[in-house]
Amino acid sequence: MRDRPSFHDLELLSAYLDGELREAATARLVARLKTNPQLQAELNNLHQIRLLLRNTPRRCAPRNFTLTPKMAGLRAPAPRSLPALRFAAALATILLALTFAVNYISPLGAAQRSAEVYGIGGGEAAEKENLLTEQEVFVESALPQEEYAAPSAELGMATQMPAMDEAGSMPTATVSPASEAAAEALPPSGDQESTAKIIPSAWQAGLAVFLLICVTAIVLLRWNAGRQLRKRMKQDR
Amino acid sequence: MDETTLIREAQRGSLDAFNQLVLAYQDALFNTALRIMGDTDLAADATQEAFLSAFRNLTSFRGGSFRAWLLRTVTNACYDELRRKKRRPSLPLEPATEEDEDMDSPRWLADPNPSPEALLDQSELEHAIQHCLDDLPPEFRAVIVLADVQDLDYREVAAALKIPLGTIKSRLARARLRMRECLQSFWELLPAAFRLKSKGRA
Repeated sequence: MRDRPSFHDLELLSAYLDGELREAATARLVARLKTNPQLQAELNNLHQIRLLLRNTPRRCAPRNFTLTPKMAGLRAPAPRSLPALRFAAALATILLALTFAVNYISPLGAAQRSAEVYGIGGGEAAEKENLLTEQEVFVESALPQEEYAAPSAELGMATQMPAMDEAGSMPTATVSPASEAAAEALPPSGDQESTAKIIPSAWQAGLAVFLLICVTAIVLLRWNAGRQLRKRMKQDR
Repeated sequence: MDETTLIREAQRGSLDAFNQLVLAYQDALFNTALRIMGDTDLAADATQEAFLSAFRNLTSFRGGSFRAWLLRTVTNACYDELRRKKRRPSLPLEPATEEDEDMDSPRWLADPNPSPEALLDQSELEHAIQHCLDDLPPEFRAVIVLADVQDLDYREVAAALKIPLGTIKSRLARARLRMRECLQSFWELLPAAFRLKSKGRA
């Protein structure tokens, strides 16, 4: 027989104290308790501890822990039309932003194409520019030689051009053909005024009004739903 | 309205029904939190958090002991709070400043020769018990608080803490053993209080 109860014995005693031991194990333990005073002393100690804890003063809650609707995260149920209105408002916002972007970009694009025609870029516009240069050289050749340093090869080519027939009028007309050619160098869409908007302002105004209506409807619907929730909470009480 | 009806209404979203359950159980939850946390303010925070969590997860209660279910939420809230604080709550050994002298303080530690009146002071006994509870690891503390302070049976404690019955038996035995060893040092100081408590009980 052990002098000091083992931890296993203490577990048995603890469960026995709480009535959680099976019948057979209870009978064996009761028999041991009768012949083992140390085991009985341990049981008494455990009993005392449990008694102390059960009699620990119970404090009242320092305040009420009831929940408010805000704490509980209660929100008014969203009206069914709300998602559609939100989608419409988002779409209107995106379209409105796009119209502003398109109208902003299009004048800039026209300005860039104009810059290419006057020698910054290449391609078709540059070929037309060369033609203009040749014509201008032909005209310039009629002027005093010392004022111009045009190559003689270009001079030779220019003499074969049909535009020779118009040589008399070319000095004064060099500007207008050039400007006409520059205009022709623009893509067809460039025929529109470079400062004109692609999306009319009326459309933008219409989108803005539609957006305003959607936002107003959303605000009103949510306010009304909140009012109904508060009314329902009052009725519950 | 009986508890089952209140629970059903609360599960349907009735905050009023839930708040009636709060009023019925807030003392038990607060006391559990207080014994686990060892601090009134922390216990109040854990209790509020437990009720918030209970309302949000009320649909997960499928029957059985609602008390055990609520005590589980407060125990979890206490564990979360302990992890957040990363501290083991303990009573201050002496007042922080002279102004704290009137607050509850363990005079039995400061004064090696307590008067007979002090020995029988309920608050001293409570302080001794709380001091020893604070010395337990949280998982053992929760078991002994639910089983011996809140008087839940083993199955309710197992359900509340979501641990096996065998683990409950083992942890409760160990916790009681450690409480006995801790309180042994106070037995010499508080023999009368202990004797009065054990008188006349089986």
